Amino acid sequence: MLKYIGKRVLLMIPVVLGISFILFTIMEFSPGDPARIILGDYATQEQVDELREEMGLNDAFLVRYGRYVLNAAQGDFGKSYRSNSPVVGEIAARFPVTLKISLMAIMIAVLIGIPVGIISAVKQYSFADILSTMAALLFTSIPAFWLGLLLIMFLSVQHHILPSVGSDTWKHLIMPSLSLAAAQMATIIRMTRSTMLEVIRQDYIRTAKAKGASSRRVVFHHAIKNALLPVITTVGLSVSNLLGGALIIENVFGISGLGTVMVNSVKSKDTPLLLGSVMFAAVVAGFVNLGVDVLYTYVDPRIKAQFVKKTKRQGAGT
Amino acid sequence: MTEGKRLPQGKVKKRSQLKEIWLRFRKNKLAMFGLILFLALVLMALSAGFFLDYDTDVVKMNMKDRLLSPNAQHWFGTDHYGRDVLARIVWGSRISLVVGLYTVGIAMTVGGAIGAVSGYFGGTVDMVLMRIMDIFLALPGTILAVAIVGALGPGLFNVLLAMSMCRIPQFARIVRSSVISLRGQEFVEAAKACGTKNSRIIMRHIMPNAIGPLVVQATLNMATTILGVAGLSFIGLGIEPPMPEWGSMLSEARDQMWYHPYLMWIPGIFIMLAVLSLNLIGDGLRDALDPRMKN
Amino acid sequence: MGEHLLEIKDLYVEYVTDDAHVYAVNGIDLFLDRGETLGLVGETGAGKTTTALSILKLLPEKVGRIAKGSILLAGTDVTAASEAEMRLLRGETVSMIFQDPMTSLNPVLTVGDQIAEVLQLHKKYKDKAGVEARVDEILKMVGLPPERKQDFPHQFSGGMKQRIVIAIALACEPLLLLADEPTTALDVTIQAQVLALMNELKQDLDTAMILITHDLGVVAQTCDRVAVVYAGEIIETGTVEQIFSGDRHHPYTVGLFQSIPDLKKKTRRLHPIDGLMPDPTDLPSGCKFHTRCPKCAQVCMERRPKPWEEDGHIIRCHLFAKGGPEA
Repeated sequence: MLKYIGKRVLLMIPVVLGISFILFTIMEFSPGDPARIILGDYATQEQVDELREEMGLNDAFLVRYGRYVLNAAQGDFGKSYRSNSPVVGEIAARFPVTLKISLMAIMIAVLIGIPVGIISAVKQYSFADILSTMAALLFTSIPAFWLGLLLIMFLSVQHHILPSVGSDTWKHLIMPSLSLAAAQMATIIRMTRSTMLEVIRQDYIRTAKAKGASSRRVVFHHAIKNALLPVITTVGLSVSNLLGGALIIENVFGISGLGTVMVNSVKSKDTPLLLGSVMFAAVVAGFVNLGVDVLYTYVDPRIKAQFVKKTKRQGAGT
Repeated sequence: MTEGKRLPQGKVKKRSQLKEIWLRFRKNKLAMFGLILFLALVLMALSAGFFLDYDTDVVKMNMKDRLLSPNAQHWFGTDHYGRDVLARIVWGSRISLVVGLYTVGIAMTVGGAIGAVSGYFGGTVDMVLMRIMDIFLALPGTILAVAIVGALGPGLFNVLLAMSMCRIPQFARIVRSSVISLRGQEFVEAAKACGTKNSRIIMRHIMPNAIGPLVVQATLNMATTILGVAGLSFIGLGIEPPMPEWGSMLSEARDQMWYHPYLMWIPGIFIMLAVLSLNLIGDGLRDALDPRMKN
Repeated sequence: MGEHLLEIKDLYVEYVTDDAHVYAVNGIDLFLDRGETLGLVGETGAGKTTTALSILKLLPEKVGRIAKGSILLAGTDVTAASEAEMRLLRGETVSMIFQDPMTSLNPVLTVGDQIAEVLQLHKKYKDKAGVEARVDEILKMVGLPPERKQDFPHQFSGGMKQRIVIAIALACEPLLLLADEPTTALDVTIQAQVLALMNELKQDLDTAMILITHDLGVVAQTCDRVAVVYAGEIIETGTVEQIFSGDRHHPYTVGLFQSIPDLKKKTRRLHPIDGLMPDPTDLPSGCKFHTRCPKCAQVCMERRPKPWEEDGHIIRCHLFAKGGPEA
C-alpha cells in the first residue's frame, strides 16, 4: 500500500510541473512588467531596468522557467511582487481559513446529502423523495455566490443572526460554508439516490429479503455499503470543486483565504504568488483524490483484492 | 459502393431511433418544462435586437431615473446608473447563451477530436494526450479559468477561451471511452477490413454511436459554463461592465441590495432559470437515451 | 394425504406499470407434500419465477401484486400474511435459490457473514460460536472448505458461488426449497455436480422442492411430479411417468417433447412449436395455446378448457374434455 501511495505522489510531480509550465507560459503573454509593478508608477525607467536585470527578467523564457523550477524544488517559490514576502509564507497564512470553510462545507454536504439521498431512494416517489429531488435540482442550479448574498440579506441584514463579513469566529464561517455546500450537497443527494436505486434492484438484495431480513436491515446492512462506493468518488470530486468555489465565496464574504490570494494575484499580475497558490491547490486536490482512491481499496473488497494480488505478484517477480 | 447502399438504411433506422428518444423525452414532464424554459430564453435572446438598442437602452446611463423600484414603465426597475434592468436582463441572456454555446461548441470539437484520436489509436498517442488532459483536470475548473483569464485579461473573448480550455478534457474523456468501447466491435472491424480510411471510420462509424453521452454532457456542461461565467464576472474577472452580464449585474447590485433587493433577486433568478432549464434537459436526455435507468 | 405442505389455489398475479398491464400468472393450482420434488417446466416468461416469488411474497414492489387466489404454506395463508409474518417464513420455512449465482451474493460481505445472517435472523443459535460452527458445517456439506468463509464472493467461481447460495438456502433446513433454474448459468459439467448436491441435501434434510427449469432432462432425473406451465397456466400436470410416457398429453407438452432431440430414437428432424408465446399484456381468449395449437378447434378460441383428470394426471385441453372439442 505504501508503495502505491508513494507511486501516486511521484506521479503528481509531472502534473504539477505541467501546470506550472502552462501558467508560466500564459503569464508570459500577459501584459505588464513585474519590475514596474514592484517599483510602482513613480520609479524611473533606469530603476526599472536595473531591477529587471537583478531579477533576471531579461533572460530567455526557458532559462527563467528552469530557474523557477529549480528553486521551487528546494522549497523557494519566490517572493510576491506586491508584498515582497515569501510566497510560501503567504499561502501558509491564508490557507487555513479556506481549509476551514471547505471542511465545514464538505461535512454539511456529506452529512445531509447522503442520508437524504438514501431516504429519497428507499421511499421512491414518496412526498419526501419528490421534495428532496426538487431541492437537489434547485440547489445544483443556484449560483453559490447568489445564495451567499441571499443568506447575508436574510440572516445578517434582516435578522442579525450571523455576522456577514470576515472570518474571526466560527459564526463567521457558517454562511460561507453553507453557500459552498449547497451545490455539492445537491450533487451528493442525486448521486446517492441513483446508486441506491440501482443497488436496491440487485439480485443480492432479493437474496437478503428471501433470507427473512427486514427492509431496514436490507437497507442498512446490504444496500448502503454498495451504494456508497460510487458516492465516495463524488465526494472526492466535491472537495476539489469546493476549492474552486471558495475562490468566489471568499469574495462574497470578504474572507482573505487562498481564493482571495489567487484572485488578487491574478488582478495584480503577481506571477510568483499565482503560480505558487495554484500549484498548491493542485497538490491539495491531488492528495484528496489519492485519499479517495486509498479509501476505496479499504471499502471495496474487490479492489482491495486486486490490489493485494498485484503487489503479491510484484513481490514474487522481484 | 456497398457503403452507399447501406447508408440510407442506416438513416431510416436512426430517424426512428431519434423519434423514439423524443417520445420518451416528451413523456418526462420536468424535461419538457426545461425545454420550454430554455426555448423561452432563446427567444428572448433572439428578439433582443428587435426592440432594444444596445447603446441607448442597455448601457446608456440615465442618472435622473436611478434606482427606481419596479413600476409600469420599468417592469424590473432601474439600476444605480438609471439603466432599465429588464433591458439589461434581456440583453444579458444573449451573452450567457452565446458564451455557453460557443464554449461548449469549442470544447466539444477540440475535446472530441482529442478523445477520438486518443481512443482510436491508443498506445503512445493516447498516453501523451491523456497525460496532458490530466494536467488540466488536476485543477478545479474555476481555478484554471481564473488563472487563464488573469493572464489574458478579462473580456468576452478571453472568458470564452478560458472556459473552453477548462472543458476540453471532460469531452476528451467521454469521447475516448466511447471510442475505446466501440473500437473492438465488429462493425468497425468490418469497415477496417474493407479498407476504409481511419478518419472515415471515426467520423462515419464511431462518432454517430458516441453521440448520446456527448450530447448529454454538452447540455449539462453548458449549464455549468453559464454558472462559471456568472461567477467570474461577479468577482470582476469575467465579462466587463458596462456589458450587461447577469453575474456582473449581481456584483454591481451588492452595494444596493439592502435598500433595493430587486436588483439582487432578478439577475439571480435568471441565472438560476437558465441553469435549471439546461440541467432538466440534460437529465431528461440521459433518461431518454438510456431507458433502462428509469423504473 | 391430509394437509399439503404447499397448496396454491387459483392464483392470479399481475404486473402493473404506467405502460403495461402484464398478466403473468392466470389461475394456477398446485400442491406439494413434504419431501416431494415438483418440476415447473415451461418457456421463458411463462410465469414460473413469478409463481415462486409469490410464494415468498417477494414480487417486485409496487408493480407486482397477487390479484386473486390463495397460497397456503405450512398452514399460513401467504396472501393474507403480514410482512412480519412473512419474514419469519422466509429463510426458515421456505427459501429460494436464484438463477444467477454471480449476482445473488452481496459483493461487499464475506460469504461466511452471508450464511451466518440467515441463522442469526431466525435465531437458530444462542451464541456466536454456535452460528460459526453451523456455518462451517454447512460449508462442508456443500463441499467447500470452511476456512473460505472469510473470503468475498468475487474470490469464488460460478459453481462455487452457487454452492454458497445453496448453503444459505439450506442453512435453516427449510421445509420448502424454491430452485429457480439453479444450473442455467453454470457450465454443463458443473451443472450435474450442483444438481447432484441439491438432490443429496434435499434427501438428507427431507426438504420439499420446486425446481423451475426448461430442461426436461433435469426434470426426469430429479422430480417426482411435473407441472407444465404455459402463459401463466398449468396446462398439464402429473407424475414424471405420466408426463414422460403415456399417450394422453396436452398438445403443448407434445410439442415440448418433440423439440428436444432423443438419442434413443432415430429422429428425422426436430419439431419445434411454431410461433411465440402470446404477449402477456394481451392474452388470447379461450385456451391460451390455441394460437399455436395444431389441433385448434372453434371451442378452443371461445372457452377456457376445464381440467381433465385421471389418477392425478390433469390436462387442461378441450381435446380431453367430455365428448372432445366438438361438444
